[in-house]
Amino acid sequence: MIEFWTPVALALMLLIALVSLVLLEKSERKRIDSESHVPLEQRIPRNYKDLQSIESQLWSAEEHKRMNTWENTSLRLRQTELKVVADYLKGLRDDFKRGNSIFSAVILHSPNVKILRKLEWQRLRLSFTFWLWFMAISVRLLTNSISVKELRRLTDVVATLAYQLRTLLATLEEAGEGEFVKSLLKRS
Amino acid sequence: MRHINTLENLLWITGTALKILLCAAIFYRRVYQRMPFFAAYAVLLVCEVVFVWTVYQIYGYTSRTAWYAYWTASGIVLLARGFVIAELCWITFRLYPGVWSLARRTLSLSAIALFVLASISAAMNSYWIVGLVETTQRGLELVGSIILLLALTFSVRYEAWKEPMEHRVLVGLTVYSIVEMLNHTFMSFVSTAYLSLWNSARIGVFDIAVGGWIYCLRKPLAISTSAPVLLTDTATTELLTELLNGMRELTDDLKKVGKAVWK
Repeated sequence: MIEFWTPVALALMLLIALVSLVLLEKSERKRIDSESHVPLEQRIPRNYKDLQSIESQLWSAEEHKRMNTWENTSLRLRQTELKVVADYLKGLRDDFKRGNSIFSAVILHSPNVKILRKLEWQRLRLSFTFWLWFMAISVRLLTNSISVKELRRLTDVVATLAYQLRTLLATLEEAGEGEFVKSLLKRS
Repeated sequence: MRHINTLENLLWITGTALKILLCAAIFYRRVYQRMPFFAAYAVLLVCEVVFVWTVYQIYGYTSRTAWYAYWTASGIVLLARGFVIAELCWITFRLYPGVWSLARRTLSLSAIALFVLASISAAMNSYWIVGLVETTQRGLELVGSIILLLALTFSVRYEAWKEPMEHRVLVGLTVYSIVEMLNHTFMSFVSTAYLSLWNSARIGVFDIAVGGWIYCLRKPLAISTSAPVLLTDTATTELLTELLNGMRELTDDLKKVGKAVWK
């Protein structure tokens, strides 16, 4: 029977993979189309810049409970602050996705397989680490708590990614590739 | 002796009509300029039907000549489908040397493995043409569907979107390849009572795919936009190396952060 079920299971897996990929492509295209009116400068990561405002909100809300220095504080959040942090985390995730998408559009232009392989490897490591951190903070949020240190670190990751992205796009623009940068941002 | 039933006859007629319609649409929309192998494949589909039908009429459905004619025609069409798969990969990634180089290697390795497998099986089969075509077909269906899925994965990962026609051809061929792979499994295990039903379903799936391609050709094809060239090769290499170093630093920072927080 194994000779029968193995190809059947394989075919099912291939079909599921096909449907998932088609749906993913469709949703990505839909997102890009729906963002056609969004100005180009808003298409690069920017949510991470709100950290200061988030921290000041948490600072005011938790002032009476603080025992340690602010950086080492682990806070238990009320519903209002919880929503603020959850929204900020969602913004960071969008930033990372957007940054990653722009990077993938640049990596696509790798002139040879050697450099493509190295870039992809780094991209995979970076994504893995980001998502690991993201999940860790999300799990903590489920218990209504947050570590300021962790939130700052995750923000640092996204901020550095955004900085690299800006540098890259600026280099391209300086080299007279303004049109390329525009097309890149439009389809990312 | 097995006879062709009414449903199979109906599917045969519908399939032939759809294949002829596809051929006409391909020439009307000049798809051959963009996808020459796909155009050749569509023509071969019609030729296969006409050739096999003529042989059946002259020599009979169960004759040895009909049997050889069917397998020879299947082999040729199968080979053409392999070329269409390669063409789809080439169309999707030709503008991106790095990705195309990776895809080309995967494709070549799979083709070599397939040829070796087919040769071994053909050598062991007394009816060598059946052995060659059947094993090649089974292998090609699996390898073909995996390569097509890989092409789709690459295109989603790098957002290298294909034009609707190419996308439809890719999805249609992938579904058909998966169904054909199942076909070779069912042939050996499913009772003959259900074989006719399964065969009709298999033909139906291909007819739906052909219908989808025709639907895509109802309007003129969109002009394919070529990807902008990113500086020169040297400049691209320098820029991407810089990017690579930046990403390495960022990953290392993340590792340090992880150690600091969790210690």
